[in-house]
Amino acid sequence: MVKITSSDNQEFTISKEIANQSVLIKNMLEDVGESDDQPIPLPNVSGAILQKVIEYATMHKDDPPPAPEDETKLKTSEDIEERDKEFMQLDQGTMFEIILAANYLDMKNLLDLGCKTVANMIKGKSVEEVRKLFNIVNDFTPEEEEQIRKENEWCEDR
Amino acid sequence: MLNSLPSELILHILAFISPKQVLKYRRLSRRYNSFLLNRAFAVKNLSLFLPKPPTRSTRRTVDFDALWFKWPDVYQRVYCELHWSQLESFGICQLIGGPLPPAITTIKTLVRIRVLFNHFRGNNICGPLPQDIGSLTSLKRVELQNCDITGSLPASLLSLTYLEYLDLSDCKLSGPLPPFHCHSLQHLNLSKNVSLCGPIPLTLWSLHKLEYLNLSSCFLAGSSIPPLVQSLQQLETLDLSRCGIVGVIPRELGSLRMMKNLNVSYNRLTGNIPSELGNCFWMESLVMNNNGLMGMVPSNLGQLEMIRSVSIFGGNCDIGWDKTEFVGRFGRRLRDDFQWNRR
Repeated sequence: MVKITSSDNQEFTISKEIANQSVLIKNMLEDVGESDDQPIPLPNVSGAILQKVIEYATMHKDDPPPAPEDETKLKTSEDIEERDKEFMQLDQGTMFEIILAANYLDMKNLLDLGCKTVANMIKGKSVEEVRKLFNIVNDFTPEEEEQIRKENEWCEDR
Repeated sequence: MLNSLPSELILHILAFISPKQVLKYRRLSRRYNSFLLNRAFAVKNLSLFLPKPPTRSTRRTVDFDALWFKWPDVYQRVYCELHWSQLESFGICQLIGGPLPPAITTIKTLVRIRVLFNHFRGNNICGPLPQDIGSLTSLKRVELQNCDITGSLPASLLSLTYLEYLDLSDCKLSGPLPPFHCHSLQHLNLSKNVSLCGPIPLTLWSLHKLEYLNLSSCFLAGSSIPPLVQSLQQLETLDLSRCGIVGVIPRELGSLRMMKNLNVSYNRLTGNIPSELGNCFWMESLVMNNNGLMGMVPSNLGQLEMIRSVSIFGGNCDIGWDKTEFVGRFGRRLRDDFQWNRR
């Protein structure tokens, strides 16, 4: 078993196969060796988020190892498993924190899942809707925006 | 919230949106605009959506092929690198309604560029050709006839060592003709580009592989047909009609033994018809009406047994002929032409 602690000092004890899903923790474990039972500090991740990340890793601990890259399969945002979709039903804030955590912990599958989920929230929405959804401030001059609108005539309505 | 993510993660998110629509989010803000026009992003985004490795049988990319003309330059270039890196033939459907993008010069393997299904005009390829189109050094065939291509003929195009076939007829090219250094050229058609201007560069007459040369209806004022024309020993068709050409018909034309179709009508040529033309055994069509020619029709033109069409007498010419000298095929055609033009 491996011990990890969050930024707010919550301690979690997890199995090695779960821990190894994070490349960051895996590398740390290899560096410190097996015998050390000091908890690994993860100062960039809060307890609440770490809880969710562990939940994800537990759900996926029995996954077969990734097949050699299937060249014909597109890795686009359409191919999300149902259980992952359910897992990602979170408020925006939590979702972005999970993306940041997955990036920090180097968990590619979780990072892709988070990013695909956000991509799906954006897809099909108008520019104005996306600005509103994510509080993006339009800092173009009207002329600049018109210029891009013109260049984008082919995709504005898609 | 999305804004608070580091840029690399924002790019990672956006890359999952199809190249068909992701670029519309350029308009979100300046930051997103610069993200989306970043080369690294284009690579990431297109790599996710392109099947690897590209195959001829892949249907999925057809959609993207049509979008290519609409994409920004960076997307066009990356797509060429990722997906068209081995492409030899570039066929352009109609209804593009834009210029040939400079990014096409990324596809170094191109041998042929052509328009497809070009049966009617409108909504065509328009605008100038990329000036550095000549960096496609493998090009052999350029077939962009009946388009709305404007601007000057890029000098780099006429410097291509392997170029064999160039058809830009019935476009809207303008300006002077650059020098010709494409010594493999066999077929040159620039006809009906009324805004091209003369003179014809002398280098044209050193393209010794030319079989077909058509500059008809280009206003190349001040040009003449120099004796150098005899270098074009493979020439079968020479159409310089309605070109504003002055001077005489050089006797050296008679040394072009492959000549089948000669048309120099509607120019301002003067002098006699050279009798040497009678040596062009394969001549099928001899058209030189509406010039200022004079003298007699040389009797040895009667040797042209392959002739199918003769037009000499039209316009203000001052040409006589001796009816007794012409029998046979050529004679019959000449008689018809004379009858037709008799005032």
